[in-house]
Amino acid sequence: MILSARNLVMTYGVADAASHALAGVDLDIDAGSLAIMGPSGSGKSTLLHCLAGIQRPTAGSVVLRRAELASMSDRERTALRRHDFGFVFQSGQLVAELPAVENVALPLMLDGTDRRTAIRRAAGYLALVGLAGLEGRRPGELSGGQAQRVAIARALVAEPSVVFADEPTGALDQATGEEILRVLVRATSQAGAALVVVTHDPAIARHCARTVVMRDGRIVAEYHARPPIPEPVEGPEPVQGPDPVAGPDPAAGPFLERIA
Amino acid sequence: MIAVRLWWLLLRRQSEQRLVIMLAVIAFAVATGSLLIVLGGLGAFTARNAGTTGGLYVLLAQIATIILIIPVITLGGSAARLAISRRDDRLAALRLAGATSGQVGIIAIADAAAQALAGAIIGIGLYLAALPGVAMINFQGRPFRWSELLVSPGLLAVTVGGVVLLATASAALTLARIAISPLGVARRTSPKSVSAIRVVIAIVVLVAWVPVTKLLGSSAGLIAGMIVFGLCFAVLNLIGPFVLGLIGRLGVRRANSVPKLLAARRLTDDPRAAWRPVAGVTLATFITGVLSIGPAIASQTSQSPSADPTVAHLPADMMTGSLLTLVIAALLAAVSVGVNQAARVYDLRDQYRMLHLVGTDASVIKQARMRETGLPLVASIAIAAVVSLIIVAPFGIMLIGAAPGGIALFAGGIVVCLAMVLGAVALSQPLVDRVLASGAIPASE
Repeated sequence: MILSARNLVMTYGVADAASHALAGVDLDIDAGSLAIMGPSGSGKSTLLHCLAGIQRPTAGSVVLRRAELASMSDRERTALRRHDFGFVFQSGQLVAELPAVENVALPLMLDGTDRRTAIRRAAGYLALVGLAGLEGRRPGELSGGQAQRVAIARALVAEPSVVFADEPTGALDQATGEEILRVLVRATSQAGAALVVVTHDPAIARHCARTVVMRDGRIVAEYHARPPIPEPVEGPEPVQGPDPVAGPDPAAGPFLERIA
Repeated sequence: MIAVRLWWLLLRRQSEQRLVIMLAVIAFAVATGSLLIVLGGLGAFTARNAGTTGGLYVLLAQIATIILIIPVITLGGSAARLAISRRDDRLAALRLAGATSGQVGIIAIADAAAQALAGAIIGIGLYLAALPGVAMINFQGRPFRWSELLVSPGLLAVTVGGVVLLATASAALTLARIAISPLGVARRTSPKSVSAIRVVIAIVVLVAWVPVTKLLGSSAGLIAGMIVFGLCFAVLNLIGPFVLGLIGRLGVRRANSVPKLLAARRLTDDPRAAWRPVAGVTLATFITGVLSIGPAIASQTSQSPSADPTVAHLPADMMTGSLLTLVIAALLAAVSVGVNQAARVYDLRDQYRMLHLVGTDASVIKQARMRETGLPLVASIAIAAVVSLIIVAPFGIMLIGAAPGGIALFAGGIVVCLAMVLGAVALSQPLVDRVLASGAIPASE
């Protein structure tokens, strides 16, 4: 068991105006991929924030390897997010001024790794998500799908125990979204991390080994394979993404030498 | 007409934008208030010395006015940019709801003009409130009367109109550089790199200054001198971004920590944007440098055997005038830095939150902010000091040291500028804490 949540309650407001975003959630997270599904307002993002130590729950506990998150100071939880967790959000998570490889190297440098080593490792993770050769591109020069691949590489670079992804494909078209999910599941598994994906889309959830369904702040169903989903409506032709296993682009060499 | 009605409707429903609106209005108010005090002072000197031999005082007051009008215009311009550029979400939402890009433009410009008008009216209040204090200052051996410092109603109207016009023009210029689509606001172009041609132009202007100073005795020469002096002022803003770009490139190569890397990348990414917050300080430092020869020139003039009795008070008055000019320039710079810093936190709020969520300590974010202001600040003060020394060189750099007041003014001015900017960054740090504490994740449920 990597992460364990017991009787999580999250209440906003007081007395009559109180609303329960989480109304007593128990969840264990092991190696492998887990999808948290549910309609808008079901509490799935709040659950992710509590599991990741971003928010403190009103009641209940979240334990990571015998350490209770709620009893940690803000500084300790920040350090925990840096060492043990990786994050992929819907969009807007890259630093616009930094080239892709430096965005990925950021968590390592924050932890004191020297720049040259951090950049070298970051370039390896960019290659893992199929972006070899694009190390020097700024976020503004990347497509939505490529930016998400950079975010995935950044989430994995510090070798976290768990990667949290909140609607990671929400800003992408369906074909790119599915492609990104495949990259996310495969890269996380190769890096040996657990994956927690929050989504409202059953087509996205079916990429995960396990799915829990939330409604009104509670877990109402759990599947250990693919959730039953209706046949997908005919969509656009799948777009061929970059080859995830392609080796580094020789053109990237000079850039890496220049900045490292 | 529809656009104006929409604007009026939105004007009453923008509580979320309160901080931004307040900042823009404060900036317009300080700019207007300072401008009126300067114009009032100029009027007082002109009236007091009409028909007497005190023409030198009028000339000096004119020089001070020219020196101070530039920071006033700069502050007015940045207030207008602030008024318009923080409305990204709202303008995009209007486009999504069906407003044409022309209508959105009118709404944005009307916003800036309304804030400028509100600021200008408050600025009149500031000016009237400051009058008793200004009137206590002694010039030519006696204090001013209130009536001397009051500007005419006509000039008051022209000043307010001028501030609103300046805001409208700046807003229109800013608007021309962004494209507001239903999906958001995008810069039409990514920031262009600054070319080395700036340095060439700067060298040409500074070299031209030396021969021009020889002609200052004639009235045509004086006009030429004024023009070249104004160009030297402009040169600061030409060299500044170029030097910052260079410093940034060096910094990127040597950066071995996150704050250093972030700060250096921000400099190389858009040196002009990095320069903007310190532009006011550059002007204040430049003014300090130029004025620092004032006390020595004044004491030489009054000691010469043919000294005119009307200039008996000149040494003390030059010092007072220099200090007054410096205080106004420093005040304008402080407001400009404060407004820019607060606006920057607002601009980068999503990025700060995201960096914190992925495990960046608040202290690292704050260090990066200090550094990304500190580097341009040190560069700007160095550039301003060097350019101002070039300006005073034809009169003799030794003049700065000839009177003790000169050195005190130069060194004191630089210390005041440094303290002011770092103070403005420190004052805006709690805004970062507030942004991080809000904890919302961009683009999530």
